[in-house]
Amino acid sequence: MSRINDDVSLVSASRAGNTEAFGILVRRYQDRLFPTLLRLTGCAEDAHDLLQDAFLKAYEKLERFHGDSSFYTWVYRIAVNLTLSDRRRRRLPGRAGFAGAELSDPSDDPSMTDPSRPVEQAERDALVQQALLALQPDHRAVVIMKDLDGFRYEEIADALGIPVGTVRSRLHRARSDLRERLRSIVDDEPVRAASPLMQSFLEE
Amino acid sequence: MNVDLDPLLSAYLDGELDAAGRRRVEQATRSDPVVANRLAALARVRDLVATLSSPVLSEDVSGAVLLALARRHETRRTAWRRAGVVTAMVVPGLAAAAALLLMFGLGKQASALKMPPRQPQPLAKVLPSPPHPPRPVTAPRPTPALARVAVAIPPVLLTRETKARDDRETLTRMLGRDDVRFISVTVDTFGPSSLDDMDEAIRFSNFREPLHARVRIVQNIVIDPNRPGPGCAYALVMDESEHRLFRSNLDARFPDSVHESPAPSRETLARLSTAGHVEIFRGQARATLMDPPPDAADDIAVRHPREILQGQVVVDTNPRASKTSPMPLPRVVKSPMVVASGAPALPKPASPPAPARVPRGDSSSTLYVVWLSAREKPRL
Repeated sequence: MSRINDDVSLVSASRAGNTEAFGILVRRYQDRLFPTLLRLTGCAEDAHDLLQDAFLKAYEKLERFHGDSSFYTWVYRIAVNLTLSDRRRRRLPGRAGFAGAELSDPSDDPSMTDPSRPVEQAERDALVQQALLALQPDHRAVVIMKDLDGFRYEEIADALGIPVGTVRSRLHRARSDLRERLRSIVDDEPVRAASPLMQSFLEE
Repeated sequence: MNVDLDPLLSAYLDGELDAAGRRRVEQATRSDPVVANRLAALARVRDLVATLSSPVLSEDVSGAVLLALARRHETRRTAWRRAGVVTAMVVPGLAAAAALLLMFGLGKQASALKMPPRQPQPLAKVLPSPPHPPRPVTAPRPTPALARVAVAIPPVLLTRETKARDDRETLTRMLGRDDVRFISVTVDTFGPSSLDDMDEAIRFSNFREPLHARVRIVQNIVIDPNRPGPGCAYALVMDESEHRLFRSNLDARFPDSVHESPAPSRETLARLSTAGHVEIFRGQARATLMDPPPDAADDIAVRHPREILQGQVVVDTNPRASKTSPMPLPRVVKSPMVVASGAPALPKPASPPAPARVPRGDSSSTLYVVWLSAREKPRL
């Protein structure tokens, strides 16, 4: 059974009162949703709370899930809109840094890692995250949905309830803004910043 | 720089322009270095965001969600019980009030018609509007029935660090085996949904080996110079027939996107693993591992349709790098090795491409590499 069919079965079971089925859906998608919410809020605690709220809201709205999209897309839409509403309501642009968050770190095994790289990457991530949080929440959401989560313009427009043209203009303005804020690292580094290892793959 | 052109640049990078828009941007980038620089900067911004490290959820929220649902349900049940009593008292009251209002309204209307008004006011303002009939008070629509659940929030069995270390050690052990072959697949800038598609392609392929590793590649690794974004490398243990099936599955799922290039050495793959986040997935063993053909030569031969080769495919016949080399790097040859003149369409799942010839070197291990380049997100 494919995952999508499996999701539909779990949704049906959840509607029938099988909460364990809904628990499976939560466990299946919580890890994918969390990074998006964390990048949107900049705060692990807020992201954690919003993640729970999103699933609770999804449970309440299960009757409205008709399977037109995947369950993940549906709950993703709920989570993002919930987060944006929360930011607007609390007038919070987001918080700098990731208090309490655990970011994936490729340097767990020091023997297999270039020691200079993780620090550099962490510093760069922090700068990018700060710049993201300086954006308007609506603009930040579009950037994250596109560049981090890989949705197409039409999907973003559908999720946020805005025209595709608005997605396009918000994204462009957001990237232009990010470029200004990140000029030091954007302009210093070439687009093709390959490691020697991967560069060799590209060269004849 | 043409101001009208600027908003198109981001859409161009995202593959969201029509043909005319693409041509316009491409012409401008060729003729105007300012536009080219601007496009490159926007691409860099996009990639900086796309390659942000992925935060890990430190605890399972499902227990808390189910607990909240159970509490909410219990609260509603209590509220419904109270609401039932109140409704029983209120509804007759409302009906009586409505009857009184109706009588009062009619009486007022009658007196208003009989008596001259003290002030000339429109009749409509004097007369009270007829009361609405009492609406039945309905109980809130119940959410799906919840049984009483005893929810225990599951303990976090493994810390992130422990799991990451275990997974990396598992990958190292996989790379150290010499009786199997590996395949690594890179999905370049597809986004999470495509990674799921990739995972599903793996799940629906027949492997004897229940483990496979996913290495999420992070910054500073460029797989496709045209799409310098993040990617994933998968290490899977499979035999020849499994590899053929997997390849045909990939062709079906990612048309025009499957590249094969020479196998990297174990050291290369190990280095890749240090550049990314390693995750190990476990599945059911469903096939039998077979030995490579005894007459297999020390090279890889892969047949590609011409359309792919003219586009972006990288094919190589480079022998597998020696295990004794400290940092063996595969040579990439951007020329077709086997191309049939006028080669027709892409291979269909039912007719997979010619099987790769299996390298035979010092050991029976072989590393296959399939690169997937995503100019456009595949629509499956």
